[in-house]
Amino acid sequence: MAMTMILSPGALALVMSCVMGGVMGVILALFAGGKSSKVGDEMYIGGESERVLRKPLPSAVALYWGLVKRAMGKLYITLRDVVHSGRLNEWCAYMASWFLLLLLISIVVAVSIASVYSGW
Amino acid sequence: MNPVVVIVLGVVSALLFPGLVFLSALSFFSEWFLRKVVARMQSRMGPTYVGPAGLLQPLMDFMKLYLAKEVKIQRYSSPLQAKVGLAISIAALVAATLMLPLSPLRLSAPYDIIVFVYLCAVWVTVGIIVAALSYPNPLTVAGVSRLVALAAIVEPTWVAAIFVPITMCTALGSNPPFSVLATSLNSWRAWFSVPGFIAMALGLWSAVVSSQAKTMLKPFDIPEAEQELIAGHVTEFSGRILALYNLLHDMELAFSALVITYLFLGGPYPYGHLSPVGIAILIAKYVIVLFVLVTIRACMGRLRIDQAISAVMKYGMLPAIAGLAIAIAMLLR
Repeated sequence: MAMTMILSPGALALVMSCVMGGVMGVILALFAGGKSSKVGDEMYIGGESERVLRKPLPSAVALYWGLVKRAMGKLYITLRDVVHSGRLNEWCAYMASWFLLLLLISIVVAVSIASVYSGW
Repeated sequence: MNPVVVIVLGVVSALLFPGLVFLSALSFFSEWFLRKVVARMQSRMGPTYVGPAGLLQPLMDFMKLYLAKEVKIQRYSSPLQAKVGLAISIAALVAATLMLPLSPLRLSAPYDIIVFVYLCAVWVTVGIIVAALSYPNPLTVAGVSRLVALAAIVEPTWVAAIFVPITMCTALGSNPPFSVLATSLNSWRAWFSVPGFIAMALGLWSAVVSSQAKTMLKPFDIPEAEQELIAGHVTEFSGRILALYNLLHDMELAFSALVITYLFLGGPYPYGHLSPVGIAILIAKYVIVLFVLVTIRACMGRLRIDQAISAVMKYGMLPAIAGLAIAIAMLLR
């Protein structure tokens, strides 16, 4: 039979931390040792020598923000080229698509909330 | 309640069922299922020779890496750091399993979803990053950058998705409130009203999308992109460290499918855990969820990192927020 224990949130966090620690200990004991190569191998850069690293490389932070800017870039370009083009009809066409989406979402949410209150 | 019995049950739950041993076995099964189904969809055989229908192939692959292959010690590496990082991630998943009804010792608390999120979304990601950075390498750094960029969107999406059934069940009076255990036992009730159905369907959709990205299956496998980054953050892993990483990868897949099975599909509902029909239904639901994830993986090509982030935001984050809004409206009623 299963045993259910309802603890306080703090006690649960403590128990879970202990469980995590115990399981970590078991895993580290099981995976300790084993075969290993000699110390001092070069890093594997697709067959290139480590000398290639003397060339300037982007930092991890620069790579991260590069990816985020690239992902958000489309939004910026859309805002710049469509919304702020200076032509009123383009602005209206862009906003109309969003208004339709907002209208659709508001209908779904309104119907859902109305159904909640009417007890469907 | 005898404290000795509780401790023994806790150790058995953490190490055997549904802990380390069971979760590892489930992970190997999930990997076999993934490889077999994807292979059949691509007119290949898949694992065939080891065990019935190749069922033991993932275990043999693991044992080969564990026993026969050597760990490559690189000039700047710290293999112990890699093992600690991966052990943190696996231990977090194992601990979180004790909060599901599958465990003989079920642990719960009011608002325990916070602890659950802390284990599954925070520790798992932190552990992988710690492990990846233990082998300094430009390819690893590029892989970690992509991993972090994706995780910054995927983890909040996954959390928002699982908050939908949690909030719904709390709104329906499950006790303790915002509890993973109470939600797992009552989530089937949330489907039987119009707003509940809409919210749960949106949450389920979002959970599938975010699980696909969380487990780095196609189309979201860009952090490990072969050909381009060799293997991204996994480039220099070998021997026992690679065995541990592969186990973690499979375990994330198995755990994600298990969470969807319980929090959205009600586990063995309409039967209990101890009835044979209930167990059969639980297994069937798990395999169906796994099949959906595997089919998406087989059908889609890899997205670029910016495409992957946009896809998770569009097809994961927005449905989760819409579902959560409905669930919160039900809670505030």
